[in-house]
Amino acid sequence: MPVLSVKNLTVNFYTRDGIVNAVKDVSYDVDAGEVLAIVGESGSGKSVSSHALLDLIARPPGKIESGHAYFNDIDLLNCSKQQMRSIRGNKIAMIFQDPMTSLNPYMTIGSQLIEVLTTHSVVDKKTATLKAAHVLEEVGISDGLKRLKQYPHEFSGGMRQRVMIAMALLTEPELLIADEPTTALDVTIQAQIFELLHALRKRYNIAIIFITHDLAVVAQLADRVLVMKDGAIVEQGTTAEIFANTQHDYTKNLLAAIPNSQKPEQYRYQVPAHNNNSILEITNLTTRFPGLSSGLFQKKQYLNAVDNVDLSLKKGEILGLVGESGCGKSTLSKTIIQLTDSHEGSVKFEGEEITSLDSKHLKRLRKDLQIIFQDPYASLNPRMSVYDILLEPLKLHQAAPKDQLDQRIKELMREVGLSPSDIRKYPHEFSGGQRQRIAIARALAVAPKVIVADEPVSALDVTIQAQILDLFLQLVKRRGLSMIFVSHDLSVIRYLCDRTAVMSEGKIIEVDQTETVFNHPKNVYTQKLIAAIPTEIPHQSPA
Amino acid sequence: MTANQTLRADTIQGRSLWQDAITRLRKNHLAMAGLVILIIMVVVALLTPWIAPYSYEVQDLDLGASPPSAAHWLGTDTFGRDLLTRVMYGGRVSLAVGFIATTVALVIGVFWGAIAGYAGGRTDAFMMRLVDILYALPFMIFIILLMVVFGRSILLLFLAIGCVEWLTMARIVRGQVLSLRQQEFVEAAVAMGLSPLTIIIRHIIPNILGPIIVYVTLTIPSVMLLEAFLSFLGLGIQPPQSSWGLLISYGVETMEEYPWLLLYPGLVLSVTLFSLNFLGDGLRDALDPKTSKD
Repeated sequence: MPVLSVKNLTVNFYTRDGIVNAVKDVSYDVDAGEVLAIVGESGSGKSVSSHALLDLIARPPGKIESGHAYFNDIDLLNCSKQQMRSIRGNKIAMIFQDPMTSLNPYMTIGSQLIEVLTTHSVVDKKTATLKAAHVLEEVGISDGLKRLKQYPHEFSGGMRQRVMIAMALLTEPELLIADEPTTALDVTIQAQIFELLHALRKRYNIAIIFITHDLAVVAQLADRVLVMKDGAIVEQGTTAEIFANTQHDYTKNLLAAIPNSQKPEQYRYQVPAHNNNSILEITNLTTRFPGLSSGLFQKKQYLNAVDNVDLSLKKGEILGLVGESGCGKSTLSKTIIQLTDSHEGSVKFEGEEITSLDSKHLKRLRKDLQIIFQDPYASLNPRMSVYDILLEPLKLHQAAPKDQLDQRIKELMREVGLSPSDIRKYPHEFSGGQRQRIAIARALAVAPKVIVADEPVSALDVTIQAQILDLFLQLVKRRGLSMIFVSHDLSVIRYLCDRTAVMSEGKIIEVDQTETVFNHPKNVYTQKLIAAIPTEIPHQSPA
Repeated sequence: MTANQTLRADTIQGRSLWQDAITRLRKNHLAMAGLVILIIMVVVALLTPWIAPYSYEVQDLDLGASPPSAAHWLGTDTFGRDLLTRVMYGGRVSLAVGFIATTVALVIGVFWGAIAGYAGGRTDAFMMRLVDILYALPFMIFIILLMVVFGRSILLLFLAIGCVEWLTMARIVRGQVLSLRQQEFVEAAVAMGLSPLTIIIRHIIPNILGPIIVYVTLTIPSVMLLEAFLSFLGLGIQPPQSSWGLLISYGVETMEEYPWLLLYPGLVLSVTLFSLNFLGDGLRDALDPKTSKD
C-alpha cells in the first residue's frame, strides 16, 4: 500500500495576466522506502505539485481545483487545518533548497530542533535534547550535544543542510519531501548528502519525494522518476526504464541536454602555426579582502581571495575556471577585467599591463574585455528596453557609425538568436535563456577580444543551458574570441573548454588540457571533485 | 536628446523609458485627471492678479464675515475680504512653496544620496555625517538664522524649507542606491566603461524613481503645512498676504461661527493633494515597465 497516493491533482494560479494551470491532473503513488524523483524545468509545476499537498502554496492566487491526496486514509487536500498541522512537519517533513535561509539565524540549532519535537509530541526538554543530539549524529554531525548550542552561521552550507535533514527526521516521518535540497550546494557536498539520504532511507524505511531539475542527480538517487512539463506528467517509470528506454520526446531532450561529452571536434582550439602568444598573461595576482580584525590596535587581517595566481589565456581558446563556492573564482574573474582591484601581481592584456590604468585608458580597455554574469535576471537594467541596452555600449565606444546603429543592433540580436522584432521589449518580458542572450549580445556589441563568463549558465534550465553553451562555442569560433569560462559545473566545463584550471582556496592547483584534467587529475582535490560528478548512468535499483 | 531625435527619424521601434512612460500614463485616467486639475490650479495661480474678482487686501469691515453669496462666491472673511480672491492668491504662495521647495529637496537629495551611496567608503561617510549634523540642527533656529542674516523674503523661505527637506530624501536615496549598487547590471555598466555619473543617471536613478515619487508626493503637502506654520510664527509671509495653510489656520479659529472660512481653503488643499497622489501613483506605475503591457 502506498504511503501517499495523489489523484487528479489540479492547481491553478489566478494572476493578473490570467489563469495559469500550474498543475494539470497529476496522479502518482509513493511507496514506503521508495525514492520518487519529480523532474522538470522551471515552471513545470514540480514544486507546486508537492507543496500543494501540505497547504504550502499561497492561496490566493493559488487554488486547488480538484484532486485527492491520501496519506494514511486522510485526504490532505480536504482535511481540517488542525489535521494538517499535526501531519505537516510531523508525519510528512520537508527540506528546502537553500539551507542558508531556512534556519533562523538568531536561534541555536538546538532550540530549533527541540522546538520541532515539543510542538509535535509531549516530551520534556531533556528527552528532546538527547533525541536532537542523537539525530544530529545520525546525519553525520559528530559531538551532537555540543553542536546543539551553536548558531546556524557556525555551520557550513552542507552542514546546515544536514541540520535541516536532522530536523526533518526528528519526528520520524513516513514521508520526506526534498525540494531541490542540493541545488545550492557544491558537488562534493552534494555527493555526501546523497549518501546520507540513501543510508537514512534504508534505516528508517522512509519514503522520499525528491524534486529536482537535474537528471544526473535522479540517476544516482531515485527508484522511480516522474517527468513533468507545463504542469503535466509526461512520463513516469522506474529510473532504469526512463534512462534505458526513454519514451517521451521531452525526456529525450532533457537527457540530450546534459553536457556529458567532450568538446565537439570542430570547436576545439587550433594551435596556430605562428604567433602562439597569450592574449592575457596573469602573474602572481593577489586580491585581498579585509577579514575580521580582532582589535582596534591590532594589525588588520586580510583574506587572500585570490592568492598568487598565474594563468594565461591564448587567443581563440576557452579556458575553464572551476572550483567550489568560496574558492575565489568569481573574484579572480572580476580582478582580471579590473572590476575589483588587485593588490599584487600583474595582468597583461596583449602585452600591456592593465592593473594600474587611469580611467581614460581603462575605458579603452573595457571595449576589449567584457564580462557576462551569472544571473540574467539581475544583470539587465529592468528599466531599459533591449534597444537601449544594446545601444549604450555601441554609442559609448563608437562601435558603429551613427547611421548604422539600428542595423548593428538588429544584427546583434540575430547573432545571439533573438528576434529583432522584440527590440522594444523590456527584460522582464523575456525568459531566462533569452535574457542571457541579451546579456551576451551586450557583451558582444563592442566586439571585445576577451570575454569573461562568470557562471553564465548556472541559473538556466538544462535544455536552455545546452543552447547557450552551443551559442558560446559558435561565437568563439566565428569571432575568434578568447574566453574565460567560470563554473562550478564540471560537465559544462568539459563540454566547453579547451583547457581547465582548477581553483581552491584562492589558488590555482591544476591547469591542463581539459581531457587531461578529467582523465588523469594529478591533484588530490581535483580527483575528489571529479569523482563527485553525478553520472547519468543509472545504478541498479533494488525495486 | 539628439540621439532620440535620430531614432525618430529612422523610424525605429526603440523608445526611451520616458516615452513609454508617457504613453502608459495617458491610459491612466485617474492620473490624467490629477494632472489636469494641477495644471488648472497652476494656470489660475499664475493669472490671479488679472482674474481675481477683488483685491486681496482691501477690507470691508462693514460687511465682515459673510457666507457665500452671488457677489462673494466663497463668502468673505472677518475683515470683509473676498475669500475666493484670498484663496487664489494663497494658491500662488502655497503652490510655489510646494513645488519650489520640493524641487530643491528633490534635486539636492537625489544627487547627494546617489553620489554618497554609489561612491561608498569615506566619501559616503563624510557626506552622510554632514546630513546627520544638519538633521541634528534644530531647523527653526536654522530658518530664523537665515531670516536674520538675509532678511525676510518668500524666495528665501522656499529655499530654507527645501534645504531642510532634502535630508530625508538623501537618506532614502542612499539606502536604495546601496542595494542597487550590488546588482549585476550596475557592475555590467562599470565593465562596459561607463563613467560613474552616467551610471548614476542612466542606471541607478531610473530604478529608484518609485520611492522618490512616493516621497515627493508626501513632501509637497508637508512643505505647504510647514510654510503655514512658519507664517503663523511670523517667519513666513505676512498678512494681508495669504496662503492656503494660513487661511486654514485662521479658519480653524473661527470654524464654529464661520465654517466656510475653513471649508473652502481646506477643500482646495485636499483636491490638490488628492490630484498629486493620483498623479504620483500613476507616474510610479508608468515608469515601471513591469506594471503594464502594451
